[in-house]
Amino acid sequence: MTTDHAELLSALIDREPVDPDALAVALDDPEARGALVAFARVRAELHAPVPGEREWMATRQVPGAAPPRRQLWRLAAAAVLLAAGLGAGVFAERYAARDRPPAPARVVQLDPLPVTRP
Amino acid sequence: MRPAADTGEVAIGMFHRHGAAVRRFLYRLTRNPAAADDLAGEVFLRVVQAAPGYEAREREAAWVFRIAQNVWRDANRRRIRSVEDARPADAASPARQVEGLDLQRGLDALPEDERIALLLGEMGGLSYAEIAEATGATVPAVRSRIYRARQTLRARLLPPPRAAAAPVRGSHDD
Repeated sequence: MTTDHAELLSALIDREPVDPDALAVALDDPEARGALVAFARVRAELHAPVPGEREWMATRQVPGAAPPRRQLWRLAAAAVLLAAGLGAGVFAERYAARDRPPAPARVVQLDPLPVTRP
Repeated sequence: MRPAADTGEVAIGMFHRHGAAVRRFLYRLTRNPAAADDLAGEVFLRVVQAAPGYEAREREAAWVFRIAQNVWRDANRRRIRSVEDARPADAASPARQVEGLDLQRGLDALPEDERIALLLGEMGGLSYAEIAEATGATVPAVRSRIYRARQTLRARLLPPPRAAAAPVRGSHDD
């Protein structure tokens, strides 16, 4: 195997442009083919998950970014609940007012007359 | 300049597209999950800060990974590199753990320029031209570095090819 063959195959798997004729010659080289398979194995190993990756992705928020949609929905739900609570309070106040005796418009005070016994 | 809301959306999108790869890149450089967490967080903090000025002239992955490389270099200057790695791999089989350790040792044994070039290409999907721009090297040098790195890792990860079977010596050889 020449270094050129394996290097060309290394560039190929990196999506770099290679000369097709040189590629044909390289693929005829069994050792270069072996190198190609080995490079693919190295790639598979490099792309395997690493310790702590899932936890980090699951818990991480982008610092300084706008709140995610879930948080916006929570805020919207809280606002709706607050509005519903206020509405219910106003309604209850008006409903209770119907059974309440009316407030006095004026007050008539009766003073006892002086009574003299015969 | 982008509006703040757009900036947030851009940063979140970049995080979802590149977060795992960036952290993996940094883990491979630090060998330390906690350090990789911190540095990846710093990368996306810088992404958020720089997102208003991000123009689509440059490929997004190349831009994010250039930031990641800068964060790593800054951290390296602060000498935060650690050899600790106490946490087990995610649901990894014993065979994968052994291979993973060999891979990590192989990466550690690489010269830094080869390691960075290989990881930028593999983790970030950067082209040789993008790696050359990020590292200040030439495209042929990048091609050569990545090839040498792969050959070193190949020698570490895989058993050497079997030698051709020796001819069985029979009595007629005498």
